[in-house]
Amino acid sequence: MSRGYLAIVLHAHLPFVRHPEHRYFLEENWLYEAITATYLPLLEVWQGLQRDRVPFQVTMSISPPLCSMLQDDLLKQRYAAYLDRLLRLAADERRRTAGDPTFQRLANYYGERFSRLKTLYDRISGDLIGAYRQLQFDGCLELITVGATHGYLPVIRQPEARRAQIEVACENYHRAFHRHPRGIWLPECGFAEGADELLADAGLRFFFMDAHGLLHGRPRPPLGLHAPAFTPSGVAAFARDIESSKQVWSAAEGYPGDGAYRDFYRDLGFDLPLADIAPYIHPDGIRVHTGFKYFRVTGGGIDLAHKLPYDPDLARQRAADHAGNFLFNRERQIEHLAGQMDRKPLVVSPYDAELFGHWWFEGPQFLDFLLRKIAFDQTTVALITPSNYLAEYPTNAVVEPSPSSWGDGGYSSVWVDPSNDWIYRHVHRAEARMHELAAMHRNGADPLRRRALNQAGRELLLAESSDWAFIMKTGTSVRYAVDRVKAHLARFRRLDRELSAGWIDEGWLADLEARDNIFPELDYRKWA
Amino acid sequence: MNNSSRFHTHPAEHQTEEMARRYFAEGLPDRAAEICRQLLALHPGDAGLRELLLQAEAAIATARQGRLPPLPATDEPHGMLDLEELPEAYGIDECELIARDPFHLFAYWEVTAATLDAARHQLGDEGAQAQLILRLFLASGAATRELRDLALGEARGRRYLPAPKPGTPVRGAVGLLSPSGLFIPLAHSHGLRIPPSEMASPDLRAAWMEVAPARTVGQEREPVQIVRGPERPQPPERGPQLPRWRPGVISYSSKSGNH
Repeated sequence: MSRGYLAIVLHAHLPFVRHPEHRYFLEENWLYEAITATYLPLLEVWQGLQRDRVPFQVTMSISPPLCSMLQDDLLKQRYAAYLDRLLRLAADERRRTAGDPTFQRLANYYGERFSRLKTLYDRISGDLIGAYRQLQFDGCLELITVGATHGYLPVIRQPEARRAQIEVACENYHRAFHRHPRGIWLPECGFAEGADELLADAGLRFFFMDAHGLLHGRPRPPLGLHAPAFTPSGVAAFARDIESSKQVWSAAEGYPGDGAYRDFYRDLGFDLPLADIAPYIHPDGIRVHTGFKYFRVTGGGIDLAHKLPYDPDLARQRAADHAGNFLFNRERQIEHLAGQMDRKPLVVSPYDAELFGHWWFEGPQFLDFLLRKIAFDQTTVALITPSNYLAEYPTNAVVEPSPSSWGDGGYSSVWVDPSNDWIYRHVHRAEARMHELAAMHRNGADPLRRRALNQAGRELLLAESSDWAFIMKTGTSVRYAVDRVKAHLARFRRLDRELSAGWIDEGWLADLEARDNIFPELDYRKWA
Repeated sequence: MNNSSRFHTHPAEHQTEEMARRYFAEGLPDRAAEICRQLLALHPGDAGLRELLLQAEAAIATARQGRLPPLPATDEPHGMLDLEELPEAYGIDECELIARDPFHLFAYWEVTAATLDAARHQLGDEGAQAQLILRLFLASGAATRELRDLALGEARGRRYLPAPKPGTPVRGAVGLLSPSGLFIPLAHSHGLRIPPSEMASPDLRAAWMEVAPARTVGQEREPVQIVRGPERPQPPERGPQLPRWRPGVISYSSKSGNH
């Protein structure tokens, strides 16, 4: 019998990037890299635990844009080609490194890794969503949804627009996972006053907040951060545990910065002469990450040129050590808390899923070790999902949470910044106009008009994505983010003009529907 | 405070002078120039970067002189489809506030010339001297109270301003303020609460609520069902037994816990 619980929550999200009008589109690589580095390796871990009959429960959010891209035939085809390219590069690398045992070993390591991932991808017929759905059905994962396009609720002004982000997300989830979601990951953990009522209306039972969102709530939560609180609308708020987050996230103290782990930045795409790497990078010669990374972190402040070669065995041992250390700390934490609470304490540890594998290459191994150790090496800590915790403890304190996010500073300064604040005036105008259009056609519209209204809803949702503001703030791929916001708003305005004029360019609309094809069953009346 | 790792931001560790030189040597002066410009924005005094940028720009110019702009290699479009610049103005009167953090608000506004003219006319002799301002109000229930005025100057724009007080409910209005103090509001913002910056009241006698747990498998949408509460229990004699755990205060052994 455990003395307390640990809820591991992985938030998986990428912005919707799909450009069928281009044969190669640089930003589509975000998806292909994440499938290779994170979504397939995590699936490998979950299936391995199942195979070995290791009991585990993990919560994962899969955002609607990511879900849509993983189910998209065009992107699946392109991913298969990407994986084949990696295998060709692996063969080239085996030849190139033939005279150097250290790097030959690494080339072989990558060749075997990508072959294994391809076998897994083929075995599930490219249907990652189906594979994750099965894991939920088997009781290993609790899958939850995310705002429809990862719209950051505190900056969405129109109440109907906020509602649409939640309702559309639930529908997308139902379509993918064949049931209604029980929980939601609020994009960026962005809580705005009244958001919990929207969640209750949508039948959602819980969401997550950063710690101060609950601690600053009214009244102060009597059980602190280690039990959920109900908002007045009856939805449960789970707060992020500060200490376990820091152990993994912190740049200074976190595990991923250990010198034995693989270095993210030094990549073959930037190391080889252009002539050698050309077939595997952007056709215009723009160097990109290939996933072949031969060096380790080595140490803080070490220049890229002086990194030491990666040693997969050493890194694997370090992942096992860190898993043991993480568990040791959770045991002590839970022992301490259990003596002071009227129930089993709950430590909620949420992370971006892409941390595991993409940024922290050994992250999936760490999880694998951690879940096995929890199952077999101790009895203090047990894994749980939010739903199961609420089933065990259906009575909780009532707290009005405080507006907050998990971004830098804890509020909205990442998404409301001189680099990106120009967005909001235009997006808010489109939100107001969408509401007017939907209200005007509340009782229905002819088929062509309905398609135009639905597409206007899609363009608005895509413009609302928090990713664009985030990218502008962080200063990478800014041009792409700016163009995406402008293009979605331009498409929205054109649809608005054509709807108002009573003449819709059906050819252009059809083309747009084929390009921005997210949420095929969208109903514009959500904005009415 | 942690932040999301966010997959799509490849930190700019490759935006180095070395990488710019490689691109230049590989016949890609435009990429080299782009990296140089980004680095010069951070290190404007770097003579080496400036020299490399000049070389790259010269190479780009030379390449352009001898030939027409390159045609697309395929039938693919250039850049983002449907891209248009955003409108400068929408021809409406509006004002909006967003709480950036407990100490700062972000405001944007637009007032049309026709609205401004009408308001100045309404102010009569004082109209010409009236100033466009953003007025912040305390907005608690039906009660409103003026908190602060901010001169705007422009008929449309955006600006950051200090928040009146963390935790305060506020509303904004853009309007004309006459020399004698008469205020004519022209556009109102939605109301919002500035986030609190510290823990709420030490009153820990929370109400409790029971919510029916979600059923287990294969459910359609089911409403959130509050079974009981919220109920506030009688104050305990000695006060509730509270966890004294404070994250980070207790230090654990850093030894590897392989069990």
